[in-house]
Amino acid sequence: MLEETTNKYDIRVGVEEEVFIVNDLGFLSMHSDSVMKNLVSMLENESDILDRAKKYLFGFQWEPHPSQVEYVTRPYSLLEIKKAIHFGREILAKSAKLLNHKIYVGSLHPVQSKPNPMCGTHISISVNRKNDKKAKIKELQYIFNHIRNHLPEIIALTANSPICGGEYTGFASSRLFYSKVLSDSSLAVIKRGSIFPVPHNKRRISRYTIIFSKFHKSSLRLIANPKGERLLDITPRGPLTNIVEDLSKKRNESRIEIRVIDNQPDIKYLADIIKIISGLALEALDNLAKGYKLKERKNLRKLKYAAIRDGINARVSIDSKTIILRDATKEMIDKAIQYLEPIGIKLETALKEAKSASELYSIPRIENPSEKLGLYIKKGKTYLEILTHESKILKTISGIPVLIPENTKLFGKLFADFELEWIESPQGIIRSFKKIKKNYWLATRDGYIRLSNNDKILKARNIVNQLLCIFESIKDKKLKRTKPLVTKIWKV
Amino acid sequence: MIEKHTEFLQLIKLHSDISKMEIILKREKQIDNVILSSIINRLKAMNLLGESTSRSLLNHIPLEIFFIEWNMTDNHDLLKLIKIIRMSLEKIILSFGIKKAQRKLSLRQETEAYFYFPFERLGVGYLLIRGQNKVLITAPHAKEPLSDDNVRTIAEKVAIKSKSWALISTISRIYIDYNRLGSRLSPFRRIIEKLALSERKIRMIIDLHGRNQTFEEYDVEIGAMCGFSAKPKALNLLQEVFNKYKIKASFEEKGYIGGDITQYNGIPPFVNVIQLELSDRIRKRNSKRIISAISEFIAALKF
Repeated sequence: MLEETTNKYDIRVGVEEEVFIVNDLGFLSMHSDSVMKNLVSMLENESDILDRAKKYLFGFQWEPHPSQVEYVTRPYSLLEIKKAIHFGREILAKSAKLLNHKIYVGSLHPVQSKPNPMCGTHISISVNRKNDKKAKIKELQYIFNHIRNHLPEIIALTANSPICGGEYTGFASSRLFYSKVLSDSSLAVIKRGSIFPVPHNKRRISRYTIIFSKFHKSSLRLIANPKGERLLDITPRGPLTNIVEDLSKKRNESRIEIRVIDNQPDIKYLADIIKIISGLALEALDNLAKGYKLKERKNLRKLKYAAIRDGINARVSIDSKTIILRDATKEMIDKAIQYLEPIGIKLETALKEAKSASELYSIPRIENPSEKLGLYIKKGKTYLEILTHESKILKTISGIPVLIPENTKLFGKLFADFELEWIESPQGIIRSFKKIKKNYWLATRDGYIRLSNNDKILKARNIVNQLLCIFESIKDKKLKRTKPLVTKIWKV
Repeated sequence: MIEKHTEFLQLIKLHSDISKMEIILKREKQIDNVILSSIINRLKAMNLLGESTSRSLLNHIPLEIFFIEWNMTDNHDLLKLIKIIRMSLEKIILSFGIKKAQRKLSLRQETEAYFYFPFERLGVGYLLIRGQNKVLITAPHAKEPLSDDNVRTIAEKVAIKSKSWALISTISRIYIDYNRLGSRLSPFRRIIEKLALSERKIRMIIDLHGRNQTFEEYDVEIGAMCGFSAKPKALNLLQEVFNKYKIKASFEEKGYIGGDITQYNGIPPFVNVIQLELSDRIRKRNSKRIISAISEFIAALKF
């Protein structure tokens, strides 16, 4: 039965991956438009690249944040999809390089995503029968529900965004925790009818769409969200659904789109995840052939959130047994492998041992010299009065270094800067950040001074308190102020 | 949500009190203690509203006012301080709007409290040309890559011809965009504040930019934050000079109302800021015309 199923179907996968454009210091660059401009002129001038782009990609697309860009591959077989992903990343990196930029293939920028902007990978899987017949709606339903039941394991394997805004969030996938466009889908059901109303309430405006089925066409629809929304963790796509945007699509565009996957630093790893999902699709089809009934997994939501929080090491309760999610994931992978082997597909990475993406590249190390100062910034108490612990160099606004003795009282505005270290491929693709170093500075009246943990903070105020001081001094007719340290402010 | 509405309401009330205080001080040359107490109480109440209040207040109040040694017994000094705070609040109210008040601010942190560039490596990041009048020409996007073509040359030539000050960026906008909120603490931005508020050497800032549209109806787009950042008299004078030089100018028609330099540094009548978005055509083929026009405008300004 297993081999019969695997021989019967042809699986195609497409990948949409959003990436960040960063400058050569590792910070987001809001110039994706300029990178795309370079890309267009590169494609116009180099016909071999254009030919490869036509072969591998549907195209590129803008994203809401100016530091993001997305490439979309054409549907490919499991053996070829890796080449398409490789090409998509490489061509973007090449055009970014012309601006001295790089691309970063992570889900959240470690310091500038708060939590937005965020990037993700969407994998679309379509199944066609080898006898040229299109997949039936029942087959799509089985694939959708089966993969949906395994979302906790897929999330556990791919969760790869533990840092947001320069801090550990406590979540294996901060992207999934904070995202507002990855709502929970429900178990897909097939509904028959000639009218499909799609209600939709947004910002207190009631919106609705009514879809009519054509006389000669099937009136069956696969419904994973009664409102016809497509921004879900997993969603069926194509003309057989109640998604309004997909109504005019062709039948062969029917697919299942998995949107919960965090960006993977390594292409081989991403390719293996695609293979596992394909194995799950084949398993679902086998279950259908065997006549099994598919139900929603018990505690699916709880399991999903456990995976988002703790990743592969989450302790979960499955069938009233407490296990580590890694064990359940290993079991899922082993089953998927059974369906992949007959078609000559093998996993190439440590993923087959259920080692997650975050284990492949270690989590970035955060060096924060003063938790206390970080907390002041968080609370908005950025107007500080300090007493220097040791003698320091003050950099004036004109760049002249001036020595400030110890025990000097200074007033100014607190701010932080960052230094980043990363792992990069020769093509200019940042795979993962290694180190995030935070430094604290005080912008004083005369210039800038670097703060250390030993400097004594005499007062910390927010802007409201600072204004309050001004008005209170108007009342008292005096204003206490430290004397200027530097008289020469700038050099011409 | 209720907190956000209260915050917005408190801002309006605070603005109203400060306006009253300013009028009384102007007319009667003395501080009304009842209003002053009301302002102090209002600020104390605002402090109880949560962290987002301080974040939104922070947006437009110039940092430099906390560094200047104001003489609280001098009515002239006091009036200037109150006027700057009042105008900053007006800008906050204008940009805050009820829509912004409804937004969730929970995860937002002060944008200007983080600098996304290793500060140690910055150096000064600008070139300053000293002038003899009270006008500063700024060119924040003057450094390659992604610079505004020819803007640096125009800024330098205008500064030399009109004996004005000029501040030119020496770092590309791919690292720091000086016309954005996140760069307010950079030396480039702080020197503008220092020259304008502490040193009182500058009364007019002309912020030069370039736009790269293929089909352009206008040579120049004038931006003054809907008239908030510069006196109408100065804007009318600029329009007249452009007409004289047959330079087609539009006023905020294409949506260039001004970047952060215009929004943050413009505190008329003390500091006027006008943003000029120069078209490709005028920058590259008719730069002499625009240099002469801006220089004539500067010469005609009276402070």
